[in-house]
Amino acid sequence: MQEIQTHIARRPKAAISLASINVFHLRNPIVVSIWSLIYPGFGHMRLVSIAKGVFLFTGELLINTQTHLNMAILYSFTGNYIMAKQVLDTRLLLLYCGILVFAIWESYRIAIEINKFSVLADHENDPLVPTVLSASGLNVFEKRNPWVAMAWSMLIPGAGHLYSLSIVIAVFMMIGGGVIIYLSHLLPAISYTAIGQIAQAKEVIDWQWLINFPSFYCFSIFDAYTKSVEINKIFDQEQAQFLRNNYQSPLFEMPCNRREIECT
Amino acid sequence: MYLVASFHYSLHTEIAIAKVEELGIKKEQIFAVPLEIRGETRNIFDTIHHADGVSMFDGGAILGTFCMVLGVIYGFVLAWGPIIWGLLGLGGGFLAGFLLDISFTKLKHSKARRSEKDGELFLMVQCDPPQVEQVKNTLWDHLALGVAVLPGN
Repeated sequence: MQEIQTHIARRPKAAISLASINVFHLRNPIVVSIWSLIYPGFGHMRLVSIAKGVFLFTGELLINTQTHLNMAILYSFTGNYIMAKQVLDTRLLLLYCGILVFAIWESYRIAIEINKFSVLADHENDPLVPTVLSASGLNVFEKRNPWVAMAWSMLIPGAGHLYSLSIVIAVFMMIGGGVIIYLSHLLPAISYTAIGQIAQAKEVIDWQWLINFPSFYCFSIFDAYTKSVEINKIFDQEQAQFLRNNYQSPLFEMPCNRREIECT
Repeated sequence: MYLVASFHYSLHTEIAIAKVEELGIKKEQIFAVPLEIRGETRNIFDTIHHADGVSMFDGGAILGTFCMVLGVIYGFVLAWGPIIWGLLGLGGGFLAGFLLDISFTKLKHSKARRSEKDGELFLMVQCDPPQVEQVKNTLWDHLALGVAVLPGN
């Protein structure tokens, strides 16, 4: 029987689909686990585990909202310890600790594992497929300017991810960001602050939701920037691979050969 | 005659090669030398932290986030409100983290970072003297960083 000659990359360096590009890239495990500390799920999204990240984030957000944890943080940091104790709903509180520590520990573990995969993938150097084209869209390794990705994410959380070809995370960022912005009454508060009515701004804000916003906002900016850098590198790597395989013919006459022939 | 040109990794480079081939140069007359990509060294322990070019942003983003959260929280009691204090926290935290990152990186790897404007790959094209001008213009038109002509024979 004839053997079917299909080569499957055992350790691929990157995967591309219509909805996103996933890359094995060396990452600092400590930085990844600090993102998990800031918000469980962010560390996983930094790595290639987008589904896990969204799941952990949603769980954390629900527990946080139910227990009024952000309000307790707010009161504790401003010295109002009595209110901090009163505002907490203890039915889910202890679960939060577990999720937080789990997210930190697991994102650290995955980061180290992915660094190993990344080194192996570099060694195996399997040909990457740079383009996916289907009837409904196009995704392709392309050079993106990371500063442009960052600037768009500063205006709209998630827009930088749309620009840098990561549509799955972009959808999560846009929906999540929209919900947090709406429920925290952030935009009216910005309007009041801009015209100098600080007291009214403080009044209109929903503090429980607002405290989610800084972490979410900063992460969307940071991740859009970093994703663009990583995708640019994959582009370089794929192009170098292509040139090496196609434009290093042994038939090419090197200049030095010529001179030797002339001399002799 | 030989033409040597340096390029960045970009789609323009592939288009340049395609256009040169369209001028009647065969694939065997083109030789590409992609230089080793920075930060893709095989040694895990050296490259995680600094050589990937991203880490300059890590410290700023993390410290910026922490300070923005604190700014929003203390804006609850401070006069200027949460939004101004949040933005001040973000800016101040980012700057502090960024400067810390730079100083640490400088201390550890003063020679590790190179300019990104260097050429990343070289093309050598072997062609007959009458074609040289045409090929040279094609290379320049597609964002070659530099082109040199070598007399072959």
